Amino acid sequence: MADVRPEGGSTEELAAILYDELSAIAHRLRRSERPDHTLETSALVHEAFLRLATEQAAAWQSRAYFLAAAATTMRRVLVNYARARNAGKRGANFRTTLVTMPDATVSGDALDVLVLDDLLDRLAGLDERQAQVLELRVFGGFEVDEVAGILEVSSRTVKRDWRFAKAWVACQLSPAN
Amino acid sequence: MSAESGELAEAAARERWRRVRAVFDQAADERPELSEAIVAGAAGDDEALRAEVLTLLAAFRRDPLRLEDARLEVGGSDDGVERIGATVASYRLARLLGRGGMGAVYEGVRTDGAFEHRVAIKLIRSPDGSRDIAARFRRERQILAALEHRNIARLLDGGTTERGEPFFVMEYVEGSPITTFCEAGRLSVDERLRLFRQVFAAVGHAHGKLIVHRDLKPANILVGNDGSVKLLDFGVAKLLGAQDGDELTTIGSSRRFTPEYASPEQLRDEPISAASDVYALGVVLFEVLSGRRPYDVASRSPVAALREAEADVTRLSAVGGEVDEILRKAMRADPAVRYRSVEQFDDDVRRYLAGLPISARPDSLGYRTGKFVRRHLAGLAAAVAVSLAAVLLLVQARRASEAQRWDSTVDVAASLQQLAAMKMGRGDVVDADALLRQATTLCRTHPRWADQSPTCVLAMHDLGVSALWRGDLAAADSLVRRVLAIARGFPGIKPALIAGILSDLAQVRDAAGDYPGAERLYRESSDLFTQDGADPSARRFSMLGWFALCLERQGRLPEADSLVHIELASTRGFDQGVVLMHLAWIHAQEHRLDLARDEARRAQALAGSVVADTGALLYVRFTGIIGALQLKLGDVDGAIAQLRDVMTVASGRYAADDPRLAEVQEALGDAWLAKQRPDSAAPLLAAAAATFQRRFGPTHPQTIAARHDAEQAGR
Repeated sequence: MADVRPEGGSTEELAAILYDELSAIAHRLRRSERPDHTLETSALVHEAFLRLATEQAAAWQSRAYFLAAAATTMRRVLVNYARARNAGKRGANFRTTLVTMPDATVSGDALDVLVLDDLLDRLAGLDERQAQVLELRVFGGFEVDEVAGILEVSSRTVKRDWRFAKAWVACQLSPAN
Repeated sequence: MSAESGELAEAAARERWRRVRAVFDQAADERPELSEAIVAGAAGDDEALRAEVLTLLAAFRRDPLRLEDARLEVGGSDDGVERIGATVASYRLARLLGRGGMGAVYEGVRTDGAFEHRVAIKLIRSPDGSRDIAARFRRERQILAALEHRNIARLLDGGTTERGEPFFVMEYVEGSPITTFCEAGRLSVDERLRLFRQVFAAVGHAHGKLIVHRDLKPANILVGNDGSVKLLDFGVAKLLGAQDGDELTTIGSSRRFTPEYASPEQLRDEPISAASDVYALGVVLFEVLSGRRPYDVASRSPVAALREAEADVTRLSAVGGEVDEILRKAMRADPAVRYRSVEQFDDDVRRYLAGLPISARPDSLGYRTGKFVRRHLAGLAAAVAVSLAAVLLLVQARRASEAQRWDSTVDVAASLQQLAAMKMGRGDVVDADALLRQATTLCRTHPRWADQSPTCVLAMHDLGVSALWRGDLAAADSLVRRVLAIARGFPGIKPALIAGILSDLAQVRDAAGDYPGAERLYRESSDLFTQDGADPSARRFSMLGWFALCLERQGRLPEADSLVHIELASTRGFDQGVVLMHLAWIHAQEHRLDLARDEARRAQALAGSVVADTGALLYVRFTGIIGALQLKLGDVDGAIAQLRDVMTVASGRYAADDPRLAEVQEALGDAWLAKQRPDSAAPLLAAAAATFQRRFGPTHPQTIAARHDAEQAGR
């Protein structure tokens, strides 16, 4: 992610603001009391971007930097909610679900965000960039070309990282493992 | 374990990982049937490596996780699993079969114990409140009953649960998705094609009952162990009604279809037809044959998916040879040039399997050029916009990479502009106009680009062209001149691009009746086109066509004649027919009527049948010329019949004060005058004159001519 630092505001500040913002959006959605509401992570990240971009336009000169940070923060928000749920706290109940219907070859159920978080950490130990690609695509909701722009590598590289990382994750989850 | 040995182990793991990755990449780039040999070759006697890569490859091809579709789910109370044991329409939900974007599918068992009867029950997530599916189901029951086919899973019941979710009860089908079935059984290409003919049979049957599936994908096409195909979810989309929401303006809005398999028109949220299913079947067959999807990216944004789907199909290749031609024909972005029906698609597959010649043919240069010429003759801006877009986008890409950063403003504006170009191509000028205004406004707010960004230039250009077609000549003139000035400042811009803009400006002057100004610009444009490597581009020919008509309007017929001949020499078939028709028109003006009649006949032989079904715009233009020519040749009754026909089409297509409608009104009015029926002629000519006056001004030659005719009829 080479040299794309914001011209104002540190990484920590950005993360803190983003965390609050994404949590607030998530809370609001939960309050909306729809029986079974899903939304794409990209919508959340974009909503945060649009709000923050207008409020602090000067501070975030680089959209790429912002979006990468947003994906990481999104992941943290989800993981923390999932942990809270597991700890038996009231309310919070988030998970990433995977479209498997009707080819329920994996388990027919949702992939828990904590499992994915763990796999991402392991993947980062083996190949940092692959983990970034996976994080940006799943938690940031970005397309291949967008990821390529953020990481400053070619789309071809992203596609190859993506297809391998996906296959690897699928293998880690299959019953044989 | 010491820290040192830990590091060593980690380094070894990374090294191992790199090897696995390298072999995987090598094999994944190739066709599935080659992968085992490649992996075996690369892995040598490392049996563990071979096994690991093959497992990864299998996972890659099957793609069970669909991580690109991962969504955050809020509100865990409705976990899916918790519904097990619940009762829906006298069935108990026994087991979760799968989950997806639309909802979940359960295995249902009858609760009344009458007999053991397994069904699949689909519960639809309904974010926008309940719909009265039960009533719709009753209303549509007869149609659904007509769907009885051995390859279609029966839809048994439908309704709304107490919680307000729509549900459907379907025949329980045991089988695997057609892609998985083919991979697992290692079927040959011919075997896969033969299997797929069952899919054609099922979809063809439903189309015969006027039911379009709308969401065909491998997951909806199951194959049982006995090799029989069953299609799921037929009728579901129809019962759920129209697509939800405006996909273009809402990020992440709900969608009732799967973008990877959806046709361009579906992604644009336009009316869909059997042709949309033909497209989806093309994508599915591509995947069945090659193990991968034609478009690499499982796009999550509809705009991006649309861009993919509209990409050049000529580059798509599944298995090579004629099968690719068949797939390309099914997956053409323009529904009009796809297979007209599933039966035709099936017929080509059958012919291929039998070794007979197929109907699909490569997309020749002639065809593509022809499309431009046709659009030009139809009086549309699409060709202009599209050709200009391609070049300017390159400039934009370069600039963006210089800046090394992304820009959401330019990004959104570019999407708006591209959509507008597509809408313009279909004659939706009003919609296109609104999108283009949004795009230019957006660009102007940008601190660095202002209106100098390539996207903004494109949008302004297209706005100018749309103003021209709407007859707002002052706006068109100022927009196109501004575009010309900016484009000339782009470093390294191609002369042909400037030539194109000059030709647009010439047309604006031409329409305003400033013939000397128009002629100067046409010539300048022509010189620039020639300078640009004598490229026989479609843009150049269409410019020559406009130039010829401009000369013809001034009565300089021999010059116009020679210009059209240049066009004629470089076209074939249908396109030549269209050019010939124009030549016939010019000769008719010259009163060389026998020559004109001969040319018109040749033109009709070459292009007539195609014109009849290429859509209203070209039909109006072409048939309008035939009608006017008949009038000149003295066949008044024939002309009236022809022009009334054109009139019906034109008035359904154009606004009441569209100049193109006025041209038809004028021609028909003139025909009624010739028939000695001034009462019929007068209202038409008056309407035409009023439109011309409002659009072109009172001193425009076309206004004067129409007013003259109107006065004659009024006498």
